[in-house]
Amino acid sequence: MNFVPAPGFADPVMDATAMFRAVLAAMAHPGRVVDLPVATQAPLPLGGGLGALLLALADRETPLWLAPDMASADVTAWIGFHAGASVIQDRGQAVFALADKAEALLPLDAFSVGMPEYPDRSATLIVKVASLGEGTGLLLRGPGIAETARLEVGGVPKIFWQARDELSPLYPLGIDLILCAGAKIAALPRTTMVEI
Amino acid sequence: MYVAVKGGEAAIDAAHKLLALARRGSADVAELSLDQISEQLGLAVDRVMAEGSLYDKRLAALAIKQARGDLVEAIFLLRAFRTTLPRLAESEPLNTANMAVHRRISAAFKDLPGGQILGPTFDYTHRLLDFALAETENQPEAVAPPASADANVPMPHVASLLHQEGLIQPEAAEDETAPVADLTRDPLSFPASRSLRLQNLARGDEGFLLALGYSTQRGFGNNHPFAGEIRIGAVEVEIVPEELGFPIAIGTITITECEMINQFKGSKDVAPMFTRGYGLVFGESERKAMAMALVDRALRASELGEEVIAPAQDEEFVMMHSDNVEAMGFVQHLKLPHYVDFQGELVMVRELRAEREKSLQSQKEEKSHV
Amino acid sequence: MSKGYNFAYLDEQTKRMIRRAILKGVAIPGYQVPFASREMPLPYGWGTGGIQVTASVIGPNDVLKVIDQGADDTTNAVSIRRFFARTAGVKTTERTSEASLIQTRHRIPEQPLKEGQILVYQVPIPEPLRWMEPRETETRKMHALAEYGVMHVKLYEDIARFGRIASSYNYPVLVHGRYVMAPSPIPKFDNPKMDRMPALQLFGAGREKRIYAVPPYTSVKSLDFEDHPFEVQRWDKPCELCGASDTYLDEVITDDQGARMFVCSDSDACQERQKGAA
Repeated sequence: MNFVPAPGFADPVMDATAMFRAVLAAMAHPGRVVDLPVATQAPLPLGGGLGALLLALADRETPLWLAPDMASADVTAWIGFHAGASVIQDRGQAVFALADKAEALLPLDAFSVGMPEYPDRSATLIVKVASLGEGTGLLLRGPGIAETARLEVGGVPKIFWQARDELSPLYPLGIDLILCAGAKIAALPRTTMVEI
Repeated sequence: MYVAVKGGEAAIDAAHKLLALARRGSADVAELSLDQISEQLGLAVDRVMAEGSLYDKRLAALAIKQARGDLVEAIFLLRAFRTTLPRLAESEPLNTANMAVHRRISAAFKDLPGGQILGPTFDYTHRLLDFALAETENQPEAVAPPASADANVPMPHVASLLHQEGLIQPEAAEDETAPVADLTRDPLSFPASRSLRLQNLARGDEGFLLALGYSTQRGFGNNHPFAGEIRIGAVEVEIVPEELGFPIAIGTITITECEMINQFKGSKDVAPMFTRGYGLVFGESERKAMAMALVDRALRASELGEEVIAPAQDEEFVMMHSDNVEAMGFVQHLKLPHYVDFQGELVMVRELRAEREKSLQSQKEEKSHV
Repeated sequence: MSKGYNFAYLDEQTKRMIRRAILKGVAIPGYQVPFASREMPLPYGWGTGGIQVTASVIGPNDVLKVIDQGADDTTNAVSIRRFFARTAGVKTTERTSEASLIQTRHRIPEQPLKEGQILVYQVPIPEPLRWMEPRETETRKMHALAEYGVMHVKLYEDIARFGRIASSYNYPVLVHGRYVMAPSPIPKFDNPKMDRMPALQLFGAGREKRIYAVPPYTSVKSLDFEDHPFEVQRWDKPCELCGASDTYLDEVITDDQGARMFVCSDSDACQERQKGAA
């Protein structure tokens, strides 16, 4: 195969900083829809937004799992070239997991939820959704939310939220979720209680 | 008016200027060159390289000059430089059997293949101040290098001789494909692997290791050591570039290696045999390599089924306190202002005293009523 | 900006590692995330954890405030502010309200922080159970099991001996009902400010290689007992410079006869109030 991967960050230092701040704002305010400050030209099904998230967070120290709907040769090559992250087959070892559709991440308990002494050694799942909007939809409670918040997530089946809810008794073990629709993201850390 | 906390900025500038002046000393005395430091204060340079965990004599000499000869401060300077350097490759394991040796001694055997070589040691000097050195016109006599300085003279390790007879614990073959542990890249967690422990000790403060090693000899975790072998010399560092697929030498470094041979009477699961403690240090530092080997052996207590009762055997105690850059920072941070917390303590102690006074008073009154 | 070093000093690989630790910290409020702390050009114990967190978070549009003991002009605060002015070229301020990022040692500003602001604490000993149990292997187990009996015993012993909990700073808190957390050596006077604070609170311990966080609007309760509720310090007199009677005061000895005055520890809040009064 002979190809030149599509561009990553135009300004690796400042783009990564701005992206991290967007993710931090999303993670600190679960359910808040945050605009991504930069995009990449990552090939589909990865796409510009997920590509930018990946470059900001992942590198050769973070084993990465790609859902079958994400694992194209183009995507793998782009990730290898720009992030140097190694793509692994065993999702239980993944620090990050990427999927084109939320249901491709099921079953969620196949990912690492951390250990009682080290709950941070758990996966962060990054998934594309059809749309993100505030004010209606899922009812959210938990740290980072003043009272309650509402997040409308397009294209995610109920079964996914049920699977996520089943992990909540494990707290402080758990998985953390970043949702991405185009150039918008929202995050649901393990502490967020979601009512459908 | 109250201005005590003001003027920090100007004070810092002034302090830096004073430091530069104090560093230079009298202008009537010639300024030290880095070559003078690395050639004539070589053991100081070696210590800074070892505990700074960066093999670069010129940078170590610069750090010593900048630190006014304060070696722990120099180690800190080198570490802070090292930490942002990119990691380009991992070296192959050093082959110390092929060392170009300039000192090699064994206390366990009278003679052995390759021989005993004293080399440039302080050991049999009489520690009498040599007033001739007070002059600067010293030109020592030339000496021919020992035959061992040629890396082609075979000089097997003493431990390998014992190993042939099955008398010494074999070193556990580590998985060679596994990534090399590095405590500067991954946070320490316990229990730690032996390679991590050795890395920690190799970077550790010489004085701390010396005291711990000494404590084992006095019975706090005794491991009955013999200095199986100490060797000092030059070894090649090799890497395998991905595009070549075979090792190439990228340079030569001087190191000190010590293998302690320790008596071990056996335990429930392990037959009687000799065990080992290992020390490896950048440059010439026999004292540190020996202390490191003693502590390494002490830290293998649980692996050998020995009871962990002494500080030197306690992995968490040793590894969390061996680093002098961490230790010097935290001890010295006590000079930073703490007056907010001290104010809290003042308020509390006054209140506690007032309450005590009140209760004593009421006890007195009760008594007088009786 | 300094040549030869990356923006905000740390290399990108290090920043990503720290950023991942911060995100896990935010996701698990009050839990201490181990991270591969680097040797910084400032000594351990002098804010290396806070500096690494700030360096990984700071962007070119941030406005940075650095305080030590509540004041912007203490020498270590000056030194750290200069470090970032030099390596990141960011705007700095002494005004709490103007800052997007505040690095602090030992205080929380008096002026309530707003949503969107980030407060970075320098932490010397992140483990609240350390004085009861020196071993990390043990304290980690206690956190895993939420087994905080030793802490309650210690506090109760204080009450038995002194009639009160005898901790005036670094007073332990329970975060989101799960983890007991060291708030860093802030006076207990500042503890109530942490509870449901709209700003994001990040904690960095460089030498001990731990990062932890309290997200906005998160419950932070100072440990206490029903019959001995948590209380903060009070002074009989107001600040002699601005007249405030609801701030944390420093005691300044003004002559060799032991005369003393009490003034606000938060220099910005004090100056703002003095301006307002003038």
